[in-house]
Amino acid sequence: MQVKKKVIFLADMESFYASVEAARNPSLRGKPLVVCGDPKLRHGIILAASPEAKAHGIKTGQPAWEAKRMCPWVVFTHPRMQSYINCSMQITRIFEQFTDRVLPYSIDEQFLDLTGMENIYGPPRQAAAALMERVWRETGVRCRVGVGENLLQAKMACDCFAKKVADRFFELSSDNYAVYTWSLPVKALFGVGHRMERNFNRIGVRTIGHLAGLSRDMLRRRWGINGEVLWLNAHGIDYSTVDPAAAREQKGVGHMATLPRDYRKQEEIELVLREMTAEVCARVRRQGKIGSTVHLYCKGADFDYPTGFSRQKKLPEPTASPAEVYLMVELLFRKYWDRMPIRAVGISLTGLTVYRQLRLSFDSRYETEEALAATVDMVRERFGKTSLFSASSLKPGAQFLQRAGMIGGHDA
Amino acid sequence: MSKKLTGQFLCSRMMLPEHCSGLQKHADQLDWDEAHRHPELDEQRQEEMQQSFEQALAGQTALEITTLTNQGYRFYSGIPLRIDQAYGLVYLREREGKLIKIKAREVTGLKPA
Repeated sequence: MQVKKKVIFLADMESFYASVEAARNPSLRGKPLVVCGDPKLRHGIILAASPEAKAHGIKTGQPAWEAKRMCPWVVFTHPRMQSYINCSMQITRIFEQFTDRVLPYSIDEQFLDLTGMENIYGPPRQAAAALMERVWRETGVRCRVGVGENLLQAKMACDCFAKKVADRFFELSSDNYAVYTWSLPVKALFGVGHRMERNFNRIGVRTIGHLAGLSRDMLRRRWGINGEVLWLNAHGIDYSTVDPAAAREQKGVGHMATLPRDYRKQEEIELVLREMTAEVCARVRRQGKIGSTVHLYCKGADFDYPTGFSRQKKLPEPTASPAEVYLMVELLFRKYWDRMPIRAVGISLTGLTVYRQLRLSFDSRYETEEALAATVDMVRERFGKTSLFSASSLKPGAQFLQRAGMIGGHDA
Repeated sequence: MSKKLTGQFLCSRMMLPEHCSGLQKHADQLDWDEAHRHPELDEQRQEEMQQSFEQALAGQTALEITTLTNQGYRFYSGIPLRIDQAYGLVYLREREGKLIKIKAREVTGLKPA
């Protein structure tokens, strides 16, 4: 019996934030438009640029002043993260009318499994055209579609080809994967970042084809499971599935922030860490869970001499109490901080389990702390995030009040 | 098989927490809608139910009625007294003598007790 090949789509929204802004304000259509954070808060980098802005050489990730220099009449707009989330979810609902197997991969990319739907929507190109037309008509956002026999092929088809062709569509299959991708530079392969690219270049691997020619065992020995996954990716093999239920299971909760200035004093950094710990714990509690491992990330301020650290430690027992988690955060910070100024910090709590499933301690102090945390959550849920907070959040350097109305570090 | 081999895209998802919770709410709503979706009854089944009801009404015999409301499935057992066509209500007297009103449009199943 012949196994039916899967039909996986990756729909990628074109200049998503900028497109949403242009859809909201049609007078911006056709103008060079960039969405950019607040330079005063060190968020003055381009988050999205319209195709007209890109035509002037403006790229995502550039500083705002550079964009202004490249195109003096460029229109700047502040991000409104909640609108982008709402628009992304509207697009998810449109896709759900085509198939129930939809997996949002990021705010502007979504996988769809259209296997076995050829009789309803026709061949992939026709189905993609229908998808693109619906999204454009209902949201004013243009999307591009990459199609493959698995998620990896769809992603490669979209990133490497569909974004560069006029009809915004490209299809890869196991038969033509090598023909199209093996001549591309190795950094174009999904999963290869700057560091991995450097590692590969060091051993003479410059294209995806070179990587595919290496031995799978050698890559596994050298880079573990990541090496093996990259070998599979180079061959267009991927065992992932579009499983919306699996995507809903959260393994960890994290919070990361770029600070408005370089923080040098220990008490200031610890103040921010305390606030972020409370934030992370509140989010874990909201899911009715507790976490077992704390991860702390600190990034140094000097770009030329990258400093900082990333360390994790298991808690004595799973918890979502800020007091208990902060003890571990403080321990990690004091042990690994090299006294250099800090630019960004991040905390995450992973190894999530259902609340009380593993809570074996009989210490009554924990119950008091849990009751206090639950009460704070209840008050904030009802009266807003800033209705109740620690007095320390009024000290200089505190970030709680500034970040309260933000999503992803930008205006909501 | 390693999770990285079977779920490299799940491992590398970049989602804002507010987006995740919005999607979770949406998924919960879809699950709720699915659990509360009224079954479509074919003509034959509707006829059978109509017949059972008329027989029970005429002979004053007990019926078992299943309804689907926002609170989920509910089950009733009793003797039908009358139908209020204007309001679409069925009046049923339960064994304990309690009189209950059932919305006809919420009925999903009906059979002699």
